Order: sequence, then structure tokens, then C-alpha cells
Amino acid sequence: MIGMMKTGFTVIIAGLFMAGCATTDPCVNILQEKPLEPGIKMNSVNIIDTSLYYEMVGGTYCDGVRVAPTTEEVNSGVVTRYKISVQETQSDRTNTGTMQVWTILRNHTNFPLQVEGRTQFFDSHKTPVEEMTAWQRVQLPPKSIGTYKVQSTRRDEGMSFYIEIREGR
Amino acid sequence: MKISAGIILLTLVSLIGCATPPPYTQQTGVDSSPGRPTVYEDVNTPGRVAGIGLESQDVASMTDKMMGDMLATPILANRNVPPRVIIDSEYFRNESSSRINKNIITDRLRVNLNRASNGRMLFVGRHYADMVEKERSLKRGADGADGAPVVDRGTIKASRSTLGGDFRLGGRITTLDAVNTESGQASRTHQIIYEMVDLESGLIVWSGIYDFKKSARDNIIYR
Repeated sequence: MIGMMKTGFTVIIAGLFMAGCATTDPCVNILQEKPLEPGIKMNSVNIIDTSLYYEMVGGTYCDGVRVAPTTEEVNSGVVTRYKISVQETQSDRTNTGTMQVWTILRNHTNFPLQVEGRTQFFDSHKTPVEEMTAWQRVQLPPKSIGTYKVQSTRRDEGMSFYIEIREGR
Repeated sequence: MKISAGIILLTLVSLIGCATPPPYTQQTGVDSSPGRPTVYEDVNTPGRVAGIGLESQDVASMTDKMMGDMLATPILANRNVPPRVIIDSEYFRNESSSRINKNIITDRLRVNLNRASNGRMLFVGRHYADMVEKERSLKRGADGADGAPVVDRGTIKASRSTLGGDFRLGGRITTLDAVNTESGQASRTHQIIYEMVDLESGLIVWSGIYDFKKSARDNIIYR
């Protein structure tokens, strides 16, 4: 009988303790992944690997209203952290009229990185005109740059491109 | 205390009861359980079985790169009269320590280039020469009834001779190997060169190179 009473008392204490925790804080710190942008942005480079580039839109929310990130959060690298960045992307025509595109990537880390790139070419109507190219590997020395370059096989006017970059596997 | 011991005993008995062999071993004694199912993998990505040799992603990547480069070379892809090109493995040599069927490289290059060039380059099927000659002799010979050819001329206009090539692909696969005997770690550097040769003058009109180095504790056999 005494044992049952002890057990009941323990349960009541635990219940009170847990109920005490359930206070609601109006300001919630949330870090959420940046939502995917619909559609393909032409003539752009997309780093698809979150291990290379991870962008967060987040911070402190009060009653559903976002009031942060603060300057400290941005400076601390909470909002955006990246291993590589796209320095420059250009395109021109080769002597045979095919399209040549390249992008210069910078490795911001202190260790060598391997990345892979592939490209989809589109015609002036934004229709894919060739198969996606095969993944090409690019070596990025520490704190240095590397160039991913690719040529189209067609020479249509008004072509555009879309490059994907991922970590080398 | 007695109750606890009883519960433990009952649990043990129940567990032992569960440990009967699964149904597929009961009848024959042979374990015929389903193995790991076959999976499709992307040829452009290293698969589950990967070593230090030349693999599918290397073949796809380098043929793609060479194709784009050839189509950007005016002497090959911007002539008023499209050149006749021969791409096969006849002069594409494997001098490496990697075991590979060279045709997987040259076939992929020829087929993709033929599809992409869209008439800018014409491809002569020299590896089909005996097939063509056999048919031509059937069309022109006198082995049929009454000394006539065995087959008729078909619908394509007859030509005195088959096409000669302007350029032909040559190349070489070479490797540099190193093994750490203590750790078993092996590394292999592959260098694959492609050269397009003018079949009249011997001039090399285009060159391409693709190289890579892989290292692993290699226990993969390439067959």
C-alpha cells in the first residue's frame, strides 16, 4: 500500500515537472533551408550539393514574424556557409560556331577539393537541345581556383546553358 | 524475486522457440534466400564496385570532352566539304595495366560524334569493310543463274569504289602504377591520348588528352 502511494506521488511530481516545461516562448529560433527556386535560371551555375554550399534562411521568429537574422548571425556564418564559390561564368563561340562556356570556381577551404560539373544547353525557346553532358571532374587546390569548361555540339543561335556543380565522388 | 526469475525463464523459452530455421532452409537444407537485388546505376557516376582502373564514368566523361573539342576544331568540323573520318580501335592502343575493351571508348566516341555532328563530319565504317565488300561482290559478281549477279543493285547508285578516309583516329592508353606493399594501397595514373591523323600527309591535325589518378586499397578485378 505504501509502495503504491510512493509510486503515485512520483507520477504526480513528474507530471507537474513536465507541465512546468510547457511554457510557450513567442520568439522561436528557426533555421530552415532556403526553399528551392522553381524553374531553371538560364546561363547560371547551380551548386547542387549542400555539402559544398548550404544556404539557410532563418533566424528568430516572433508570433510567426521573422525578426532576424541579426548581424551577428550573418557574420557567424549561420545563414550561409560554403566551401566553394562561383567566381565568374562566361560563354562565347568557338571557331566552328559551337558554344563554349566556362565557370571559375574558388575553393575556400584549406584542403584540396574535387568537384564535378555538367551542363545542359538550351535553344532560343529554352528547349533542351542536347543530352546533358557527362560529369567532368575539376580539381581545386586549397584556397585556389579551378575552371570547368565545356563545349556544346550544336551551333544554334540564341543558345543558353545551365551548369550544375556537385562534389566529386 | 521468484516471479522475476519465472518471467526471465519464460522469455528465454519463447526466444529459443523463435530460433527455428527460416522456411527456405527447412525443406532442402540449401539456403536459397534471395540475394541482393540487381540495381541499375548511372554510368556517369562511380558505382558500388569501383577500383583504380578505367571505369564507366571515365569513358563517358572523356568521350564527351573529346567530342566537344573535335566539334570546335575548324579543320574537322567547319570545312566546306565535310571530311571523311574513320574512328575505330584499330590504331587506338592499350599499353596500360588496365584491362579494357578499347571498343567501348571508340564506339561511344564515333556514335556520339556522328549523331552530334549532323553532317559536319562523315564517318567511314572501315570496321565494316569486309561486310561492304561481300555485298558489292554479290551485286557485281557472276555467280548467279546464267552468269548473272546473285543479287540486284539495290536502290543506291552504284559507285566504282568505296569511300576513302581523310582522317583517322589514333591514340594510346598508358598508365603509371605504384603500390605501397605495407598498406596494400595502390595508385594508378591513366593518360589517354587521342590524335586525328591526315591519311594523305600523316599530319596530326587534332590532339586531345585525358588523364586522371586514382588510389585505393584495390580489391576489384576488371574483366
